[in-house]
Amino acid sequence: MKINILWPILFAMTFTPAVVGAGEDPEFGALFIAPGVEETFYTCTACHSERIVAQQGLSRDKWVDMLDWMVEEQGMQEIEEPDYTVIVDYLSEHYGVDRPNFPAPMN
Amino acid sequence: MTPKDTDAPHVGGFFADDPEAADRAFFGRVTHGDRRGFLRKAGLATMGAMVGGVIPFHRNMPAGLIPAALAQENVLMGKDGLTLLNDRPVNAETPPHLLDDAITPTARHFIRNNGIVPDDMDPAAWTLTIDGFVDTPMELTIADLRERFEVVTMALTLECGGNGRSAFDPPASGNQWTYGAVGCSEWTGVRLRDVLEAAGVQSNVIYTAHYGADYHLSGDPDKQPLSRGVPIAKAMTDNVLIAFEMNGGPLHPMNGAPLRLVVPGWPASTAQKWLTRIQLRDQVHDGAKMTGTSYRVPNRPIAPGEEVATEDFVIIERMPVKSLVTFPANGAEIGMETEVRGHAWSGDRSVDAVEVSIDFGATWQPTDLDPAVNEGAWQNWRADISFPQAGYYEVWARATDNTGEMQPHAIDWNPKGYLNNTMHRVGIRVS
Repeated sequence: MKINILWPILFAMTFTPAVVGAGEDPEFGALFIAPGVEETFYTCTACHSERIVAQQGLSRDKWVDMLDWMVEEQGMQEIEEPDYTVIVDYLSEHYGVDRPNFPAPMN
Repeated sequence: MTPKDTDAPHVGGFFADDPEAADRAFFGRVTHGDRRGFLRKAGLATMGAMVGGVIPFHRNMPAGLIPAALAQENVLMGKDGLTLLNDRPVNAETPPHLLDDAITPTARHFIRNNGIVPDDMDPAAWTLTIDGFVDTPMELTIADLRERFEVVTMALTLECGGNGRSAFDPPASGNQWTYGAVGCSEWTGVRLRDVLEAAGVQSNVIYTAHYGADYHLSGDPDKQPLSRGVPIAKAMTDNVLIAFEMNGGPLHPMNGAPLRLVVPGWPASTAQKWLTRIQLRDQVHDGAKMTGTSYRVPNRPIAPGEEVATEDFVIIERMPVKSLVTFPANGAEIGMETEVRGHAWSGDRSVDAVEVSIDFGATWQPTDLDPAVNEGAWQNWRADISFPQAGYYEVWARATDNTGEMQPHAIDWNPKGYLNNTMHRVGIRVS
């Protein structure tokens, strides 16, 4: 059901430059629309806004550390596969150290 | 985010026909469903967003029950012009040009929350407990504080330890503050020292532990979102207040109403909001965000990106010398002559000089710098500037404190992105 609804939206957005440029879908708040956004959004926003995710620029190792910290210190339940890899892939690619989707202007 | 008047009727109508079916469709909720399955669905997040927080007892909510607090409040209600960094927990900073006032208005004081704000901030029902290694543990209402201790009003600078984090490269995790997680409002309250002396500080006390009424983001009632403290010597200084008024009015709910600590010149995380308890300890506090790498920096200079063992991190105490240009605004168009002005501060110290440059740091000119109105307040400075010709300029400001420490050009990089006190630059077009 979820997939039936979502994939046409993602497909449409991929070929809609204005929307791709904005990089956001209200459904996933501030997060960049790409494979993995749905798993990432719903896992993270169980406790906090996706806005804090969208501000980060971390290496893959640091994202893994961050998720470990969420489980060990912050009460998050462990994310099971395949979602775990999907989420780490998404975060590392779109919220890496080069900050391709940093939401605020840098001064 | 603004209140959406249309949400409740829409959802209500949707729920009226067949509540359980609507609940399944709208929130994905099934009564007595498997919790893991439930948490993975959009429904809990949607409902949490709609009521403005986590729902710790969501498992007990019957399917078909519409949350009573469906109307989401505006998280920046009562604030003016702040940049929202995060809406759960709420974190917002003030653009530098909106910090131009000598005393920061309540509406322009930044917000740094670690958890979910308390539901009940009734000043009449609030109590503060003083316990731990004291001769006489106390439980005090705000009326007790006013009655038993001298009430003082002071202008006090609060700055988030992570202010300026956004400029770190490699990036450091956390809210990406630029310049505006700082403010200097007038706080009215009683001295922490007076209250601790009344309780009787025992000779083995070395540290305080502060507790607030906010909730952990996970909804776990056994977790604290933030519980920090300070060495007892800092707690006993004259300008650390237990405050119940901000700029002569009530505290803003996001700034810790109805009672908070104000610890000027130290990371503002030590200035516990929604303050309920201060415990005196015979060891360094180990509460939330006291340990690990939180509010800590390496014990030695390191290269950007360098890995540092957790045991090599030390707790941040005073905040470093820093200044802001609050006029003109970055990007302003301005005439051939203008006043430039702003504030300067240095934790537990005073600022001796602020200089400005309009030629990318090649030459510097002095500014007129006021003394602090009281210890712990920032100092205001101004200078009249003439530009040699039309064009693009940057106004740079650098402060030097009374120990000779000056703001640096480059960031002293640290893994968690604290203490960025590099010079503030404001670009202007002159014609």
